[in-house]
Amino acid sequence: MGSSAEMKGKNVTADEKETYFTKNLTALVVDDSKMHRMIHKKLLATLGVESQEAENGKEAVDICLSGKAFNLILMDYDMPVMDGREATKLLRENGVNTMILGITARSREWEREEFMAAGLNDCQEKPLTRAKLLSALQEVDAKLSS
Amino acid sequence: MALDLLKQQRDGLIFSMYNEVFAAVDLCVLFHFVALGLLDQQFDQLLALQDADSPGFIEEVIKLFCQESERTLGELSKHLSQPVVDYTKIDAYVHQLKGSSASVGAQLVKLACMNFRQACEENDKEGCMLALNMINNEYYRIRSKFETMIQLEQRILAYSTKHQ
Repeated sequence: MGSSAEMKGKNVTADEKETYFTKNLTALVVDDSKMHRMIHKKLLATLGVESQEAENGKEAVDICLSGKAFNLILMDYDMPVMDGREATKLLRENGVNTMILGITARSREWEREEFMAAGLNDCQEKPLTRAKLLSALQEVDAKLSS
Repeated sequence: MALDLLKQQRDGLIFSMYNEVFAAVDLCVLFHFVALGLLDQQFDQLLALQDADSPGFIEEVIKLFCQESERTLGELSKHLSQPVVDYTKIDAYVHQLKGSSASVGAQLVKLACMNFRQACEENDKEGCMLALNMINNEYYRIRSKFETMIQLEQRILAYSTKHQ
């Protein structure tokens, strides 16, 4: 678990992956809920995206600042030790320019704006669906290809 | 044949969870008498994620949902019984539960959490306790159905493995 988490993404064959993305993509799933990490990693795996997980914002910051690079970070808002806002802010302050997608159960507009202001690229309300994830990944893929 | 029957039972149970109407009175008022099932379409997304690589995926997700929900419900109850209630802390717990229930498609639990939040924002302890009671009711109702679903899943898996 956490920084030692294995990289997985074997649900989609190489040929199938071509239909979604032109590049091999990787993601970091940050959530204190084991259930959410499991669902989000599985969603990513079905799209052929390798993923690693972190249980809180601090763990995510440590992984990214250790030199590990990702194409997408899925960031929860409410977490112990360090929440999603603080982690996102720290990542941006340290020059991490990976696409960060906030995933939160909070639905108030001001909460979303506050989270976005920390440096998110986008913010989505839970549940994370395949369509929302695919859209974010296609945006990442398009930027990498341009 | 036995496997087909087990699958029919499981599918029938899931179908009933989409269609049984359990909306409590205040939820009906809040959501204009919209008839709601225990589950919404998000559960379909989870079902679609279960494949040959992870035949126990749904079971594992449901077990984690129950573990995490019961821990959160315990925390909510504990914090609400304090003489001075920390509404910020309670709000964070309610959001955890709302997020988890939304992610498994447990829409009545999710709606009960939204009701709780309203009371929480008004620092209304009595309203929070009533809302917590409603969350508990909805949670234990869906847990009971999930337990039956897991039993059926386990029998299907055992039967499939035995006859491979």
